Amino acid sequence: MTGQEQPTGAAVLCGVDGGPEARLALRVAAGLARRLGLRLVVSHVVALPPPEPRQAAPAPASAVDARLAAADAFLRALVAEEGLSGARVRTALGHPAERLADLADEEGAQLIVVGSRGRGPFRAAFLGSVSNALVGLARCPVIVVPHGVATAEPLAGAVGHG
Amino acid sequence: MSAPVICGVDRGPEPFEAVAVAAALAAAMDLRLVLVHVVPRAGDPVLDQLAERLLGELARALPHGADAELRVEHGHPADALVASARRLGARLLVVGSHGPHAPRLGSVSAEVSRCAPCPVVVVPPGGGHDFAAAEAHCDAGRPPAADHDGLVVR
Repeated sequence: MTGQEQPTGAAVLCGVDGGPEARLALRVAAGLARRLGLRLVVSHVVALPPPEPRQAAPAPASAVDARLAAADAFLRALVAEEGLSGARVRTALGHPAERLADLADEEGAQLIVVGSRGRGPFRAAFLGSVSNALVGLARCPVIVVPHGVATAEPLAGAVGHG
Repeated sequence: MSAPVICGVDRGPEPFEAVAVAAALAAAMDLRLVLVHVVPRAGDPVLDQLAERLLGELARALPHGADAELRVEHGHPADALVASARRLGARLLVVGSHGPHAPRLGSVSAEVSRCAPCPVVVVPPGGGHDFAAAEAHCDAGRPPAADHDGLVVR
């Protein structure tokens, strides 16, 4: 499913990046959506790097398009692997927390689920910053799935496929 | 006792929202609800009495048919909530985000979400009523408790 289709009904929005806790967050989101009778929307925000003064031109549009296409393919593969074929997939470009909050509004999200630590674009000094920023921006409850919860609780074993 | 949904509550207008969200999630997942208020130190009867009064008020404001266990804990708010979640084997920990536009927004919620042994639900100001209301309306259409749940380990 893509952005062209009109969503109906309230949703659980899951923001994922490339890390293992993203998969865990998705499983938590899927379980809640199922139990609450809400749609599941899975999204990835391609972070726009801050402009560098010495950089003559911004990244070419084709490079941005390629990253968005890669993100879309990543999300589709992820939802397929998790047996969540009914999930809606959304990609966006910009500040991750801001764009997730926007997507939540667009999708009528009742809940947002994210992992507490980023990998890939959100790593290093920004550990946890997406979830923290999102908590300040979101207009609905935000569920933060902590890193390492998978090892303490076999959540994955309780998640159905289909 | 089964694993609970824990809701950490504090003074101010927000605990009612956090409690409403926690109650809706607990009902949806067939889990018991525990309301926890943390007071900074043990052995102060006045603080304990105020804590029990707050918890009593929140319990009375629960949706019809909902029930909660009330607990007063002592210590640093985030630490005590995380310790409660560990001790009780919480499936979810629900907290308010503390203040609409405070610069140190959600310091307790940020600390809790870093250290908690379970997913943490942070309820923003004004972000709880819609959720709780929507859940109340979809009670009738809710699927029965299933084996497929991201949170409940069987």
